[in-house]
Amino acid sequence: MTASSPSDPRLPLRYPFPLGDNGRLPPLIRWAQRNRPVCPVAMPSGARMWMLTRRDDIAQVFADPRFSRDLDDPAVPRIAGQDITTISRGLFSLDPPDHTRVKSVVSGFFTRRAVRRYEELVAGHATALLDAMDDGLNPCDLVAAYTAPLQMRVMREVLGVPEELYEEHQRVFPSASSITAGPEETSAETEEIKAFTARVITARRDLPPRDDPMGALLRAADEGAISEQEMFGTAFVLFFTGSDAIIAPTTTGAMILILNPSQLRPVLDDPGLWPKAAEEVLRYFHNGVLGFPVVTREDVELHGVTIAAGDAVVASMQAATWDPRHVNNPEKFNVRRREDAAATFGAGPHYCLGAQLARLYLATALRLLFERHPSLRLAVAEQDVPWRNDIMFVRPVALPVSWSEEPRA
Amino acid sequence: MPSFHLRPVENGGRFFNERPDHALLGISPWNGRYKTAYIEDLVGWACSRFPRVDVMIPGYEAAHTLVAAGRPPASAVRRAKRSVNQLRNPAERALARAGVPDPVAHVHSWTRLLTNADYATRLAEVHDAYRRDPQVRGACRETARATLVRVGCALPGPEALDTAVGYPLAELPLTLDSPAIFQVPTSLFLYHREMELLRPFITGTTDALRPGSGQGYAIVEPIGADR
Repeated sequence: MTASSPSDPRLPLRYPFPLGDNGRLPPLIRWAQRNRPVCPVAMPSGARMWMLTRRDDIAQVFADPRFSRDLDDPAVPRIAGQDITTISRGLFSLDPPDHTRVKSVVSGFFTRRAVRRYEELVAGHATALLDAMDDGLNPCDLVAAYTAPLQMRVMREVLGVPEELYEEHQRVFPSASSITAGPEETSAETEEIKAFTARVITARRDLPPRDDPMGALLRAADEGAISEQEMFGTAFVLFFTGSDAIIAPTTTGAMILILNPSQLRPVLDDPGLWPKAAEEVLRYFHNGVLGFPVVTREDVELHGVTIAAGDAVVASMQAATWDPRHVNNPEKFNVRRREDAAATFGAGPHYCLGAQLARLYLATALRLLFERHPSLRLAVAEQDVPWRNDIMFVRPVALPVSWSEEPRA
Repeated sequence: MPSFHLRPVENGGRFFNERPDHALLGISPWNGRYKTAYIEDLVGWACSRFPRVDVMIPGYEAAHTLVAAGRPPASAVRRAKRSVNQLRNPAERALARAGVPDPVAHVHSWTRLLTNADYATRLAEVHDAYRRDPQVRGACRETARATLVRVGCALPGPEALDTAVGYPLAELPLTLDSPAIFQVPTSLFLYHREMELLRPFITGTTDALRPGSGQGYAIVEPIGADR
């Protein structure tokens, strides 16, 4: 699943790409960044798209109103069949001004100040899971013991999943279907998440109103500020992005800190550095190799390439955070670096709504993990860490770890 | 080149296929047989005998065996990693010598195989069968017990078996459906002796686990070895 640097790959590149070692930037993306800033890529669906890999290009194109996220048209190119971009009128698939109107319903819950309310929630669940880990097998799989259940427990409270749907929530997420699994499986997964979202909405409407993102969406729909379809589509997006997208950096963050003890040590000595360490994890890895596409409304020329009206454009946000024009020694994991991870969260109106929550969650989850187990080590050779590159949010599906059994404080 | 011969497992005649599309070699740590030269000979012979060969080595659960036998976890992990490398390196060398392209990709730890959807599906099935089927549970615990004895834990108690049983549980999917996991029509799983782990589904005493279509089993021995 990893590859050395390609010399002269055939075009179009075929997605998904082999990952770089331990989740570093895929060599094909690095090649494209140097040689083909607007690079043709063949998707598993059969669709052709243009891939951007330079930070300035991504920022420019994703803020350019000639590029649209309205992906409702069935003829729009997609990465993997009827994937989640087919959900109509959700945050993913709206353009301004509709996007601005719908986003404003929930954005107040995700500001830097607002997400502080979740710190205690993350810390409480993290501590309980670490207690259970101490009582269980050592070595263990950190994904199964910590990073996946932490996401599940935190997000079901953040998004207000009624208790009777906890089991279904856990069955539906994380959504690990392969993007190469074919249209039927992709479509089935989308339908499964839709059915779960619908059940949450029905259940929440029967319960007293709550002051949370789902509650705000329901209220806005009742008041007519957003349509039912926009409420549903946005609830869907919140569940989807609140799942795998959170498990991935917690897992890769634990891994990279284990593999770089010289970077972990100063953070353990100065806990004030945890936000910087989390930021560097977010810069170093990206949840998805390629994000969701935008589609041109008219012909656009970029670096001498004509992107014709109706063509789809995708971007590698990891390439943006590894762009040597902006980041010194991007391949070096450095918790003290000055550059932030902002580019990992996208650009333009679709800049990630959950960026501040992701930062707080990650800093808290990693701090508590390593404060409990500063001796955490991989329990397998690095090359045996099972990375999947064929899922929407690439990550190790398991991270075997062990620790010295210090007496509990 | 040293040669080996194949024979069916006990009561497993219907699972014996002398001309499979693929062979999966099981090689084990803490077993006097699997020394460097033997692994190289076995893998080299298999490459000359079968159209395609893969080699299975333990995942991180190998350390659980050592923890169950009383080692501290950090030391158990170090030793397990070392032992797994002592299997991996000669296997990769022999594959390379036999001209197999990308030999690293043909030596599979169970942990790496978690990326394989068919392996992951079978693993979930195995865990479910372990919970509810006494035959499967018994075979897995007996296999864990025998492994513990090999690493020096003479009389493992129930707690030690609980700790060590992850090893046979992770191994079992590969013996159940290597055709699906390696995407070949027929595959023969090769080991040097009878395996208690296979008994429930070879003898049909359980419905909880069924080998996939095209799955075969054989015992592989060096020619001239005592039976």
